[in-house]
Amino acid sequence: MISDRTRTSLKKELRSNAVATIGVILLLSMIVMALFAPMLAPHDPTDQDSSRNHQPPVFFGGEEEETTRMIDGEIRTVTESNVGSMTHPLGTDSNGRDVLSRTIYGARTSILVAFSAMLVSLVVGTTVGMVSGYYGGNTDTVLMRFVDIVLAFPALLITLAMIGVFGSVNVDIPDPLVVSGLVSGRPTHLTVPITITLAISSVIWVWIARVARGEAIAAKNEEYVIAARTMGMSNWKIIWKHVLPNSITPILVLATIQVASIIIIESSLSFLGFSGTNLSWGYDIAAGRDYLGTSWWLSTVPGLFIVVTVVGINLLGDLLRDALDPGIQRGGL
Amino acid sequence: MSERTSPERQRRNRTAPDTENEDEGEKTRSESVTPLLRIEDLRKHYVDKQGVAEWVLSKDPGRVRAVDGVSFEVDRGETVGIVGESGCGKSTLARTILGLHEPTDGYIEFAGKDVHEQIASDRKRFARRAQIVFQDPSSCLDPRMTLREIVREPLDIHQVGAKAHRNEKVTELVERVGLSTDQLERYAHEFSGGQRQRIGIARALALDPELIVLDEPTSALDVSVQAQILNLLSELQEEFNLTYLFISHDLSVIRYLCDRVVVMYLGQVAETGPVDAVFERPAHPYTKILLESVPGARNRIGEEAIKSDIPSPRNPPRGCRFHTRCPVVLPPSKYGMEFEQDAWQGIFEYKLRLRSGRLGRERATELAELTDNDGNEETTAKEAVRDSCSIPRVLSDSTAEELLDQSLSALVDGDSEMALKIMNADFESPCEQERPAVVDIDIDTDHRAACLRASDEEGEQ
Repeated sequence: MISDRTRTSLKKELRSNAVATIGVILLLSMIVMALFAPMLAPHDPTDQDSSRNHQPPVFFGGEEEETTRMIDGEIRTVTESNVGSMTHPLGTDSNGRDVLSRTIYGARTSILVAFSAMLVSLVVGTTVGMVSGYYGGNTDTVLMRFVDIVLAFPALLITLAMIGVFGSVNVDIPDPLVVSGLVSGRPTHLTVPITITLAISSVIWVWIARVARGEAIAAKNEEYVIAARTMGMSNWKIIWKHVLPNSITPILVLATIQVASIIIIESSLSFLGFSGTNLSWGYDIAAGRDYLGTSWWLSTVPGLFIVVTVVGINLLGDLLRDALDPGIQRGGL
Repeated sequence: MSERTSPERQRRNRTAPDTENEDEGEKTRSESVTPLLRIEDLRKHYVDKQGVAEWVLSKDPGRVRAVDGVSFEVDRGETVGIVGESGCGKSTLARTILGLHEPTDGYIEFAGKDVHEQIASDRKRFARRAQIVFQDPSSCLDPRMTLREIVREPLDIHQVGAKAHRNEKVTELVERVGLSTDQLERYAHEFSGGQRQRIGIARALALDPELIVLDEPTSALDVSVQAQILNLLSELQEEFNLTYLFISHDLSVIRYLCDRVVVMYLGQVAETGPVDAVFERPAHPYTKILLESVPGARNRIGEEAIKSDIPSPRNPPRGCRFHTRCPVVLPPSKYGMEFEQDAWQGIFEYKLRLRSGRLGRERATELAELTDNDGNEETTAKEAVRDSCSIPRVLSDSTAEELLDQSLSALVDGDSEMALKIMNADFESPCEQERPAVVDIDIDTDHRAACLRASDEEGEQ
């Protein structure tokens, strides 16, 4: 489906557009982070230690205080250091877990949910949009009114309702890096929040369907589609061979941009406590909310990562739009 | 019409002996020789989508009468041109013939069988027999496909032979239409307009069809490229024994390529016949105007050409559809012959202006102000209106004069409705009343026209 021409113009766009390159780098680093989280994270993200809780990030101060502790059956006065250190470069949370490690692991959930929800939305939305636009008539009316109904509700409301109805279904899959023995001392399983993925897909696909329908309507009146019909090609085949390939560009661009909003919805859901896993940016932001006054880094660090990812994806969306626009395409040859 | 073959057609028929039996005598208008394509009273209306409000009020939905009662035949091996202004239903006709649209009414027969039955039973089989070449070279080829893929597509759909055979056939076709085989892997947009049209032709030829519908195949091309494509088309016709249905608004192209021509106006056939007869002796006023409006045409009589705008096929004029623009509308029969000569055209023009709402009290006053006459205000206005429509100051027929004067008075008084009412009641042309039947102009050449004047002349003869 991706022609040589498209590849050339993508490369050209990437070379000439520095901002787009930054976007791609940002996004790629997030993906690498998610993929190799067990290797990159300096600590086990679930390892708790109350003796080093609320440690600020390195160079951000902290305090030393004397407390009395029962050690080996005696009461002793010890100096407890809470100064930021290189061991925990981004500090620790209220349970003494390493914030950097948690954030690295959080990328997994966000990116996994974002991409799988987008895949589901793309498949459903494109199919519905193509059928609706190509066949028109009553099919179109029924499908598009349904889409309108879904669009009329706030996304978060529908996802919450779905989680309420179906409960939180999660699947734990073994982490290949840990299972294979390459890394040890890290969580052995990776949680895939199924309900959240499907709930998010159920609000995102309508956007894809809308755009796909418009593109299909434009494409179906092209003479090459009519020619294919006079040649006796079946409708499904025409959609697959002519309508879809000529409509895919705007759909892909929209999909990229929607990935960003999926990440935000996922974080919101986690923030509200529906994440299904506690290794998620949204969850950490929610957990850090109680300590915003004293330990600002708990919410800020995962928040910054969300911003970076969303910006990266949006820049990639711009890149795709510019590179795949036929007007610019011609110049690339 | 099969026995009325021109020398050229006889030559063609020899290449296709199965299509027509030449031993068949002049007298037996043999029914056994079926035309390749026969269209009978075909109608295609686009009915507006009905909203809930209309449905509740059970209002009749509006409809665009794109094709409204068209009949003609196409013999094997001949080229029939369909000509008319844009919006006259040519393309709709072509697409309905190919089964891309469901006809509202009427019958299309291809090789003796109903097209829509053929499509319903086996669309692919019909596709192998009838193909189309489109107008717009930029949209007729999928921009994401290479030349090879485009030309191979019909072969792939019909699974003609093995893959190697298909590729061979593609090469053959591409060479035949005058393209180089080194360009096989190029994308559609890398070709020029003329080359793309050649690709479209190669694609249509791939399945060895009997009929090719050419939907304005040259109208988007330069004149020099047009000529090349037309030559290619006529070569291919002989080589592959093709029948063409050639749709165009360009009369010179029709004249060059076609054996017979169908002139369409607002969804109906105005005139049909052999190209030479129609072009040399047009019988329908619309055909005459079309021929005169060609730049550089010899005949320059109809300088004013076509009077008003094209009426909408949504609400076509009653009677003869051309009467709103016709320079020779028949006068009402109750007034004398002289009446026709000096006044009728002007009166009819006045009536059309009234009906379209372009003429009212304000316009009449405006016209009066332009004249120097300082007399009675009403008389001045009336005379000004008469002058603007070139109606004589006094009509030869006294009844007519009285009625016209009444209408003019009503107009000047500001009652345009009344003015129009009088005109409608007393100056109604037969052209407004009855739809002209298609009559033979020349039986030998099968030249026919749908005009009341033609029917009158026939009656006199």
